[in-house]
Amino acid sequence: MWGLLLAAITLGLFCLPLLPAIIEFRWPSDVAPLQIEQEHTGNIRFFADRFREVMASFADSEDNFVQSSSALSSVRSANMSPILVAEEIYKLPAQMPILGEIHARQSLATGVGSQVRAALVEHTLALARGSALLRWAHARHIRVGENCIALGRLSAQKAIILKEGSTFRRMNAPTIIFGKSSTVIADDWDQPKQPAITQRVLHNQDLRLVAGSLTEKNIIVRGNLHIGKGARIIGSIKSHGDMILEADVVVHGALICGGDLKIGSDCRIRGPVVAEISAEAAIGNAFGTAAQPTTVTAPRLRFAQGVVVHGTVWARNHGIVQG
Amino acid sequence: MLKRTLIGAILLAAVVPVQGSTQDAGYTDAAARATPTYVRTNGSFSGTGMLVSSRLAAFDDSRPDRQVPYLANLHLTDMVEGICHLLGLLLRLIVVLIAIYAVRHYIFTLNRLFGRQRHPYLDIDEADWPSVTVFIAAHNEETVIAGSLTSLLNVDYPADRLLLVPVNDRSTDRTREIIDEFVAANPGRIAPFHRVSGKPGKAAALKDATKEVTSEIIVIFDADYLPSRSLIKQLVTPFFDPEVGATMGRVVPLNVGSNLLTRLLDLERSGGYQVDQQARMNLGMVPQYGGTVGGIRLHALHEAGGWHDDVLAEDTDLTYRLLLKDWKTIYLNRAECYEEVPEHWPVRVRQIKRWAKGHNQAMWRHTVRVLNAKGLSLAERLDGIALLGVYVMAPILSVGWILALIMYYARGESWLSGIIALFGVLAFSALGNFAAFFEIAAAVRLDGSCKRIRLLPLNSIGFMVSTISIARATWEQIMDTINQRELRWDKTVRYRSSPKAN
Repeated sequence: MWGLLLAAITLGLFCLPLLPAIIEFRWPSDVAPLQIEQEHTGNIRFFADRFREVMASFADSEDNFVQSSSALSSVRSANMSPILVAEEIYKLPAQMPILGEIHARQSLATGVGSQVRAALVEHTLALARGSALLRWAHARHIRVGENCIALGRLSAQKAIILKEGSTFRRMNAPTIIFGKSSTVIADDWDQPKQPAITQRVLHNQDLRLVAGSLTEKNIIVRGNLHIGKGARIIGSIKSHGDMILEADVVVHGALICGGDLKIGSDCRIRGPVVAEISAEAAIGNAFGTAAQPTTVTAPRLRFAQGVVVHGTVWARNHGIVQG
Repeated sequence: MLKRTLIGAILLAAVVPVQGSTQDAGYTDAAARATPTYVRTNGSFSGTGMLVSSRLAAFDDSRPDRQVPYLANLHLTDMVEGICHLLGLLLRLIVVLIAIYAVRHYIFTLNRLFGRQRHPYLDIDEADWPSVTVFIAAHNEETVIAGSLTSLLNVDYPADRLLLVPVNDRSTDRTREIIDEFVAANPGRIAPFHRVSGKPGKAAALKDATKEVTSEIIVIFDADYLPSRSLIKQLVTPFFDPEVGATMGRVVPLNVGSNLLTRLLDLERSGGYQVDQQARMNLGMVPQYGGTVGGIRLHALHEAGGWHDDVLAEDTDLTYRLLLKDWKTIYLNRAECYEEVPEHWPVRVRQIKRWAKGHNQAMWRHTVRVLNAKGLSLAERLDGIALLGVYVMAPILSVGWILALIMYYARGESWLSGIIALFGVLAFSALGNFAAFFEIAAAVRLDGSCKRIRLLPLNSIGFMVSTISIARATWEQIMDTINQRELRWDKTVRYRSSPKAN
């Protein structure tokens, strides 16, 4: 009997770690497939579009009620926090935090040092000096003043202009101007789409392209890449290490950098531009075109004044307009 | 087969005749070594036990007048010792190999948990998008093809740069009819490729269909996949990098809750993609193109020799042909797509055997080339070799178990026991295809899942089935090669019921 008891205890101890598995197998509690958002597109305007739908639904809903003040009213549904609605051009007081969404049917300006959570503006949104945007904003035009903090998403139907000292994360507009734009577009920049370049040249070590050179191939460098002043590349370029472009370089293709990317003044890059560590662009650079927008992305982005991007700018960690 | 081998090993040790002289100094040493073994096996009747008992009988000091049998043939003793020594060396080599894979799994898991994660192309959402042809491989897929086409028609890729090409490979069910209904309903979006003859198999069908392609990029799906709206863009963005030849997304089992097998496979897939593939991407190693939910640059495909229809795993083969031509494969962890996993063990066994044979083919073809390739980094070279060997590790592991059992009873040195103990631990952690238990656990945590991790110990069942299946597949492959039999591609069973055509 003792032998049987010993065997039973041993078997029990052996099976004990399997008990949670047996319970989960017998009475399943976690069997749903991993959630994939089938309709998700990563559209920067997702929140703005959803907000617009919500505002449209308020017009038909009998659940909400409106409290009117002089220029700003609030709309509240039974299930949502209040939304501020500005019917006319409106300027928020200085140092005022607005922790709900704002819908401005005309233009909206913040006061100095204001905080806005989210805003959908039908005309121009102007963030005054030192203001902060916490989640998202969409407008026809957006002007970001000095030393503002634009967290979250900024999207515009026409243009976004950021002044020096402002920080940003993700932005999209047909034209994004950092500081004052004095960019002069070269004659051959806005050419129609070229056939894809298929020829490649690979370099296993560092490479320096001579100033003024012309290359009609894709270039891959498994070290650092330095492109001399005025060089022109018809194709895409990639470096596994750092990349430096001197002034007046033109790249009719993508720019992929595995390290730190430094772009000198007055360069033209068709894009996309991807840097895995950081990217710094000097005055007068242009990325993409109005007809062919592109993306500039890096964990850290520093743009000098006078840089123009057509399309998307995405700084995963930190983006700043240099003073 | 394992049982027969083990019995044979024991019998081999038992048939050695015992003869010899008590005055042989070498024999004295052998007897001294044998003593601990005799104590351990006291009372047991085994071949080796008989051998040891007989040795001690040679030193029956109580009867010095008696001529006691001993090992008369010293050469035979040396031969047995030599065999044991060789087997011990072989076991040590196997332990080293398994240790390498165990360390590899731990490096991957720790990298995913604590290392820098690389998703360099994730943020590209505005670009001059290249032209794309989407192949949907279909052989008797009437139950699922409509769902796949509906999903692909709904993607957010520019319609003027996207062409859907269902590759109908000699289907005998309603597949062709359903495809033609979609073509009629969506003019200009779909250009079907109906294949009525030619060599069977997905690779052969794709090879024929690719001849008609003029776009820059090809994206391939199996017919049971349901792509999300953003998936095509996600798979295409890395191609702006001129070094990228192929991209691979993540497949997620849809039929998780069907039975224990599907739940175990869901865990395995998590480990394989969430940890293994992404870690290889992070570390600049060799993410593998998986043959579906992936894209290929047409120019790179031509440069690498096009599709090879004489391989069972065209995905693995293509990964290495691209790599050897300096084209990289990029893994995109957030480019997710639902798939069906096998719901019955026989189907699973057939699937894993096909993968094993195909992978072993690639190993045979590419190992030396990877070793000698000039343009690869050290990380790519080492991981490339390790990746090629994953399916060979299963039969090696089986041989290791047999050797460990033999050596445990045949030899008694402590160092060997240590090796056997180490082997036991490493065999546990390295068991299975791609994912160690630690990998799976980390993957489930990264996925944000919770209670399904309780099933982790039961993955031993799946791993054991995989190990035996892969070992059998390797043996069959060797015999097929010797007998010059052609490899056959087995289609995986589908489980979804047929939805209405659009």
